[in-house]
Amino acid sequence: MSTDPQTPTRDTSIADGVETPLQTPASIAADPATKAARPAVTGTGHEVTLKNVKSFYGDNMAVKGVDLEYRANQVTAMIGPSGCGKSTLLRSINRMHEEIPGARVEGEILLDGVDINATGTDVVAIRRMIGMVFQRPNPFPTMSIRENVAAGLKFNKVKDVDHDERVEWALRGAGLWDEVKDRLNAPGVGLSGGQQQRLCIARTIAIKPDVILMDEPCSALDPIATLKVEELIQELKQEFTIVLVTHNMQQAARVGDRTAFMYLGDLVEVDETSKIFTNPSDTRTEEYVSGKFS
Amino acid sequence: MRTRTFAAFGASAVLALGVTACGSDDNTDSTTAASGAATSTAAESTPSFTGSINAGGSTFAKPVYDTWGANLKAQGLSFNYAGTGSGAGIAGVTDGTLDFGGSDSATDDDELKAAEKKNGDVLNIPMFFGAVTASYNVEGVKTGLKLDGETLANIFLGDVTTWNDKQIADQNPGVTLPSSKITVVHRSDESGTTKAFLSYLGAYSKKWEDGPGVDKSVKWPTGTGAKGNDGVAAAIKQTPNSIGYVEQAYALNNDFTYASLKNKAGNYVDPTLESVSAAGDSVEVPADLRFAIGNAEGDQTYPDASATFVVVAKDLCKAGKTEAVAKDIKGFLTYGLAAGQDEAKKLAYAPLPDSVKTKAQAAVDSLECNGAPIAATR
Amino acid sequence: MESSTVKAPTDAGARLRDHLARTKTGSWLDPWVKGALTALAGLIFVLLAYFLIKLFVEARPVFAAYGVLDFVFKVDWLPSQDTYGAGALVAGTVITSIVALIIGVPVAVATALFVTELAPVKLRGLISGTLELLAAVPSVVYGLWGFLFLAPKIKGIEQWFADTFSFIPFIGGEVSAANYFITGLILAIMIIPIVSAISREVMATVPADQKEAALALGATRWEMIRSTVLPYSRAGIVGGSMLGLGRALGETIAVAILIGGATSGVGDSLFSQGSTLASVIALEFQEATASPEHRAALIGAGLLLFAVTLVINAVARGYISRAESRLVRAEKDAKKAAAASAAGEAPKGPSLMSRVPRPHLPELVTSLSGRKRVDSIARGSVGFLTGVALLPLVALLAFLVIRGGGAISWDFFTTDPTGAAGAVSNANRFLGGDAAASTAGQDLGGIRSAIVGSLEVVGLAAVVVVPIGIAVAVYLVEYGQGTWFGGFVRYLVDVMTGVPSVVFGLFVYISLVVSQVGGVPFAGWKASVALGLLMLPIVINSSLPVLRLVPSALREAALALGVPRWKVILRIVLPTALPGLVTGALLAIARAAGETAPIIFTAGVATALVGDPNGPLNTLPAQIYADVTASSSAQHDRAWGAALTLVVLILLLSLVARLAQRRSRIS
Repeated sequence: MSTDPQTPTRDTSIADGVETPLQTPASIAADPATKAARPAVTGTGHEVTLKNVKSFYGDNMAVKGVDLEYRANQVTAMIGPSGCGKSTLLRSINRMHEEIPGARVEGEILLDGVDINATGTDVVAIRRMIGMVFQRPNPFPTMSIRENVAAGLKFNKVKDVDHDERVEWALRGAGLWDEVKDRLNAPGVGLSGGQQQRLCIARTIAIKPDVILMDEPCSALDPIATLKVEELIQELKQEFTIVLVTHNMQQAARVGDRTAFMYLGDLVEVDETSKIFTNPSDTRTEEYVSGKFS
Repeated sequence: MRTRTFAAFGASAVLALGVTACGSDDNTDSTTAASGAATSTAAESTPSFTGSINAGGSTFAKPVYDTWGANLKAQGLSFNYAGTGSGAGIAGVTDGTLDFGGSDSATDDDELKAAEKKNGDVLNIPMFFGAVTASYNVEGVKTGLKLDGETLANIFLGDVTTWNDKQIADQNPGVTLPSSKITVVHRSDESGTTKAFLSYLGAYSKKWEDGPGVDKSVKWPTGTGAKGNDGVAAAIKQTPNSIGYVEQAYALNNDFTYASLKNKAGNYVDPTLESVSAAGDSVEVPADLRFAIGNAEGDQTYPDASATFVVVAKDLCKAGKTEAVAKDIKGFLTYGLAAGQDEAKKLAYAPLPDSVKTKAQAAVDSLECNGAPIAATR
Repeated sequence: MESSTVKAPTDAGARLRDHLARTKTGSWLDPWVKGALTALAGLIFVLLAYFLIKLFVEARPVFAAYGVLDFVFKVDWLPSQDTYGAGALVAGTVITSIVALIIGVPVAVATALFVTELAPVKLRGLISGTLELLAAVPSVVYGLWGFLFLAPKIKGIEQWFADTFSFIPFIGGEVSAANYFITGLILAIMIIPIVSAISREVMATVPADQKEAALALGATRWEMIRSTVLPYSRAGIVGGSMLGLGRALGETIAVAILIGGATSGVGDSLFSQGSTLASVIALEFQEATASPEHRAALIGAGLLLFAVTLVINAVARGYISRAESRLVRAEKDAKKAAAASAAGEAPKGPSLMSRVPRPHLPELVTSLSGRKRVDSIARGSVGFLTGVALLPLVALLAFLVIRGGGAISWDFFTTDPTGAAGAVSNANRFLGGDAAASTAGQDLGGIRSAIVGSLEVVGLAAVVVVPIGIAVAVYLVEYGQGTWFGGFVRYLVDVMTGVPSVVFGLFVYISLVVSQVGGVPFAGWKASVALGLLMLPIVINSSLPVLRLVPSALREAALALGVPRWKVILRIVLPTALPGLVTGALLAIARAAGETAPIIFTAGVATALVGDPNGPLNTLPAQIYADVTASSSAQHDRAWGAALTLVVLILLLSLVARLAQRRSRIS
């Protein structure tokens, strides 16, 4: 299990030829639904701060006390070898980790200064503010494209928002609108892998969370689709705080504003991305980013 | 409750109560009861019904009960009769799963005791007579093969194994008998037909009496078993050179050939309406109506005749039936003892002699619901 | 999210607290839903515990009177004398099951081999389709066919066999129309579909590289089968045969019709009459209720049957899961090897080739022509045995269509059966009476009340049990995974699967019918309870894999959208699994629709059309059973017509189930 076979590299010649139909950040910010759903604090995003977070599988501690700050409207990339606990940590933030029987999380997870890991907090309400995009695209197979995007609104019975408007907004935000606008009622699973992943991103942003967690969102995608999603992430950070777990150091370098390196359940260091990749303060980080071990 | 019944049902209820009042002390010996029964029978020639009766037991009597049930359907009766054997009929009354049970032999003392433990008094009411035929399926041998009780016993004991055995041949000069082996077919369930048949064998064969004995089911020395009269009939039909015993209606229905049996007077007699009825003429009916007509006196009496009984709790409501069902049961039995006798005759069963019928009707009239007599019409 | 009207918050944290406090997520329902589902799963335990305790308590008198060993082994079952040694019944159960295995397993394995290895591709679908069709034929129809058609037809052959081979112990003597052999033969035909299906599944998993390796070494097709296919699938074949054995042991109605019902002794040959534990329960339960000893003895027989079936099924599952885990292991190995080679590493450990068993080529047959001869003989035998399997099956279907079709008319479906037997006309001939009066009694009527009653009884069972079954399956997949309670319930469900239907019938009879729950003894809803007990484990077991197939990624996606767990189940898991759940439920309903034994214990006898399920109801299986045991050929005709109707109804259900499966969105 120590092997990481994934070695996609960026092919500049292909990437240069790709058109990226992205919404301008301004149009997202100006969307009236945003304010209608929840009062957004214009100009300032939302921060997540971890204080001594420990994640357990039964008695086995997978994350061994991490203190970390995810800054508002930034992409924080999480890197580290397989099994280092980066995915577990990510899933601890929106408390998905505890869905696994026997799993639990200790420590404080502060969203805008409020501990959302405190007992008595409604995990379901938390997840509406901390969205998540998964490794493999997972659109709901029984639903059309439109229904997939609107799923969160529908399940949560959000009535004061025009669903069609919000679907269009989310699909535009995910850069998928032009590709699917003529077949919104087609099944979501009929799209290509890259489109499916952007559909899942649209589904996540449709409920307007504060923070988006991304768990290796490109690992199942081809290089072109990967590029599109990476560019999308760059756009999304205007509106959301993003945590990106990736196996791919180039991706972290391309997308991350800051990068955190985890090793064996510990946070080794976190810093500006350029510093991590050029001048890390820890030797383990240096060995990892220079490919000495994987 | 009692007074309201009085008011609503007037004269016939008074009559019925009168009958019960007299009959409850002494069911059998009362001229008042007899005349009362006759009157009420006339008055109730078209009883109407409200619900359903779920009965079962004797397959011997099933064709008649089913016909009665079908005839009363127009008057609103839903009648179901499960042909599960006399043993099951009595058991069904004992545990309350049946509204009444059909049995071809009156309950014996043990059965009565078991049945009364839960239900209070339980009555045996004779309904009609029938013949148990010794039916056989032997190519070239017509109806009327002469057999006496001992020979039949020896066949069922497995001592007589071929059709041309001397014991059979001696009684049947002039009949060409094959040398093929005899296959014996008997009942596998608990059956009043079996008890009636075996009491004939037992009367003429000490070996049978001392061996397998006379009961609703026994340890058979030979042969193959089948469930119900239907099952035995089907087995005889399917098995060449077989012999078994079924009620006459089943024999007729399947075009079986059957034997003339030697009676007490030494004559070989065919089962006919007359010869079966004759068996009832000489019978002594005890107070509780538990009697048998097998091997009765008389020159032309068929020796293997059987009476069939309805076994029923005397106080139907205390035994768990609703008043409506109690009324339906009484109406059904009353019909059976009146117009139903002719229907039985059409199916080749012998009607009860008048003397027995009167006593049976008296018993029907003595049925109660929570201690009160049942008004049979409404 | 109705916080849009809130006053502008002073800071982000306050805004968030406000949001958390005001958002109604519905998550408060989660513990309740979990609790309710857990309680439903617990219901299984309560039910089974009550079932076992009730049977034990009721059977205690007979074990107390005879001792367990004497009860099981003493050959002396004579209800009229109140002696109950079940030895003859145990012997009858063993004998008929052995006959069924000896005849059924080779034929079933041959058909499986033929279909997977030898048959032309076009034939494969046809043969396995026919076999699956036969799995849907209810046992009362097998009994009908065996009793009215097969038994008379083969009696001559049986007699010849008995005479010719009379030197073999337990063979010879007079052949009885109903006997162990014919019963075993029908049981063999009944278990062929299931044994064949499991064998086919296992054989299909034999890796192609192994087969190719054998062929590449110069093995003939038969040598390849002997050296790779058979050894590889042995565990699966054994497991399938054991499951077939479990079915044969518990089979009731077909046996009750065919075995004769003698209980006092074992008989002196394979061609004597006898009884099995299951058949004696069905044939004697009505007589038994008045006598406490008799009743206890029958319940003891039921317990014994249950215990034996439980053991057999457990062993069978062991074998089958062994076969499956080997498959999984092989796949894992292959994946690992593939990954390793993709990574450019040399595979560690033994090479792929070295793990292929070296075919044991028969050394005695040295000449190629000799080996070819063996090959063609073996392949011919397999083909022949497949024909042997299909022949009775095709004959059964043909007979059903011809005889049943002949009995069917419009009136057949629109009139109720009359109770009166068709005895009248002959009696009148005998009496010289008028023929006109007799015509009324002649009309047997149709099967309307039986069809309606069956729909009522099965529908009632389905409406109650399908949701419960799916709910328990949801509990096991969504909450019970990995917990001791989940594992325990899973085990109980397996135990429940092994309870022979006749034992459920007996259980409902003693706990609901005799005690007259609801004010009546026999009632349609009590039959629904018996069928429901039978369906419950089937629904659960068929729902489990379907629910497990719903990717956990979908659950996570929904959870991450802020959807409470119960809503995830309701809106994501169940809709995604729906086609598969429908398939499973329909198959369970189809199975229940053909069950006879539990119905005759519970629904009572009725002929008229009844709407109220709190009273006796007619049903198709009960009607067939009543008619097949009658002696008049008119009733036999009605039995065929009713059987055809029942089989068509069941096949329709299975067909709809298939269509639903095809609509499944999960591959």
